[in-house]
Amino acid sequence: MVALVAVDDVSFGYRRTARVLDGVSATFADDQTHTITGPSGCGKSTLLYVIGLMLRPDRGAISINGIVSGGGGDRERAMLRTAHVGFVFQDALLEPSMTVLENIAEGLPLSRRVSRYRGETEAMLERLGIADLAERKASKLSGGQAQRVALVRAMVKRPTVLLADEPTGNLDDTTGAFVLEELFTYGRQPGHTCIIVTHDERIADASDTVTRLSAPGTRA
Amino acid sequence: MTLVRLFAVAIGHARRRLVLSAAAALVAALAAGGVVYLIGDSVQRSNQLLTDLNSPDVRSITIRANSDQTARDLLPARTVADIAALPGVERAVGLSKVNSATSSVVNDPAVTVGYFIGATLTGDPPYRLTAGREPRPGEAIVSTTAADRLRLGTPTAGQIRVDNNLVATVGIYRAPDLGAITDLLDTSVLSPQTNYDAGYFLAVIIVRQPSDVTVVVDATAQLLNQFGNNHYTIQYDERAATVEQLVSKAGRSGVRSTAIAILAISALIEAAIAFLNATLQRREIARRRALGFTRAMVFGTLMIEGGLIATVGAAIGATVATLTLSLTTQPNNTDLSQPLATGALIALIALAATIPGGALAAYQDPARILRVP
Repeated sequence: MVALVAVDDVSFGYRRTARVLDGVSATFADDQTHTITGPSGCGKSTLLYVIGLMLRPDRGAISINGIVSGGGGDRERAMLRTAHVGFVFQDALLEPSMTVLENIAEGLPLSRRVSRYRGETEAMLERLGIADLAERKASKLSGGQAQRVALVRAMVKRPTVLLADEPTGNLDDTTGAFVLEELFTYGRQPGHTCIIVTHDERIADASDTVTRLSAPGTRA
Repeated sequence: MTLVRLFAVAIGHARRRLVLSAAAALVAALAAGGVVYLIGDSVQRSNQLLTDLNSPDVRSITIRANSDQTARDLLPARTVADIAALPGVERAVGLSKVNSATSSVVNDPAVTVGYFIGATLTGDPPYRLTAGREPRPGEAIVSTTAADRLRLGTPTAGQIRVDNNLVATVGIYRAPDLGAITDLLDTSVLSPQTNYDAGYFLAVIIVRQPSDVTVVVDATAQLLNQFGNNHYTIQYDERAATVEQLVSKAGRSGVRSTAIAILAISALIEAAIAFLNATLQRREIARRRALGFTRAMVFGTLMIEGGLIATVGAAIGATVATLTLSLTTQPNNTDLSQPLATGALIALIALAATIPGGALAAYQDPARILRVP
């Protein structure tokens, strides 16, 4: 097993509030799916966004695929995020007025032509059973359909690490199970990993590793 | 490719938030249109005033002898010739004492017109022939009005009586623009002459520029001073002395401050719209940041969006104002540099006004917006 993502002694606090993460260290190996759990407010989502390079840690470093990002600049972290990180959010976060294909295109690297990913996109839409929705506006999709589109958007560029923040929180059991299966399948591919933030112990039990965060300001 | 995709994102966003985009474009259009119209109208008024002030009426100086009872009362021919030779004089005409011409055909003393011997001292002669031929010494030409009044059936081959002398008429003339004496000549009979030593009752000087009027008037007064102040009267349009100030004032009055007020108000509204835009799309921007946008890209997208909308709005406003001006003013006013410069300025101001909103959006914390509570 290779540690695709390594969190090394990371501390983080929002301005004017107490420290949310304090000296957190963890590793997330490839070919596995990992969950981060803990009580509300313990910093699960914050850790996920620190790993996803959307938050700069006050201390410590994040390593993704061997590339270390400490307090690097916004451009450096955005480039790393584009190349290696895919996000799946709880509420899919699609643009309602855009079509499914347009929403997926928004997740592709800006420096590349959208057409380059057409084949991969169509194959994924087909596999997730939403190929017939390609030209439909996101506002016309059900919650489950929208989350599947969000999955395609996150996975189509083949990121090293797929991050999911309560991805089944708004879904019924059947759709939730389907989405989880896709996330688990993706994370268990060689050279990839999936980290899911969840309250759901069943998801934690099904994952390969569990990182439990306790009260705010404590170590993992 | 990145720039192309950023443009696509910006255009897509502008289309999705159509009301805000339309509001921003409308503000730019109104500002550009208002300023273009304001300046264009001001320039038009200045030009009109300049044209008015540049007319021969304003550039003319009339020197009149106060009496024509004796030869000594008249303006000395040599002095008038000196006045006509002054720098700045474009045309000068001297008219003899007024005589009455009557018709030789209809012997009616009530039917008379004025008769002058007119000397061209500088520039063009005081008439333009419209029929007949140039008169020789002792012959006369008549205006259409005079010919009608004298009932000359064939004014180009007729006769009139002046002081019991018969004078042949050989042509019809029209008086060109000669300021104060245009109307007088247009109803008279004229015998042109190059040298006329008997002295003039009336002399008309047309100067080149309105600003020359006061200079020539002062010099004329000095030349005539030797004959005493009661001997003559000099008449001129006093507006000529202040023509530059009048034109400048007509062009500027309130325009600059109004234009600055329009620019400032439009900048404030554009900035408010940009702030609203950035606030309304907080989650959209946070999502893009999660998907790989840098702060610079977020900022750039908003600037492109603001710039495109402002440019379209300013172009529409400037075009409409230019068309309105061209319909309401003289057709030869086709200088497009002012509308182009104004449109570009409005677009730049709108772009600058977008900076605070763009910075707000670029520096917001996407994780705080996106994370699940």
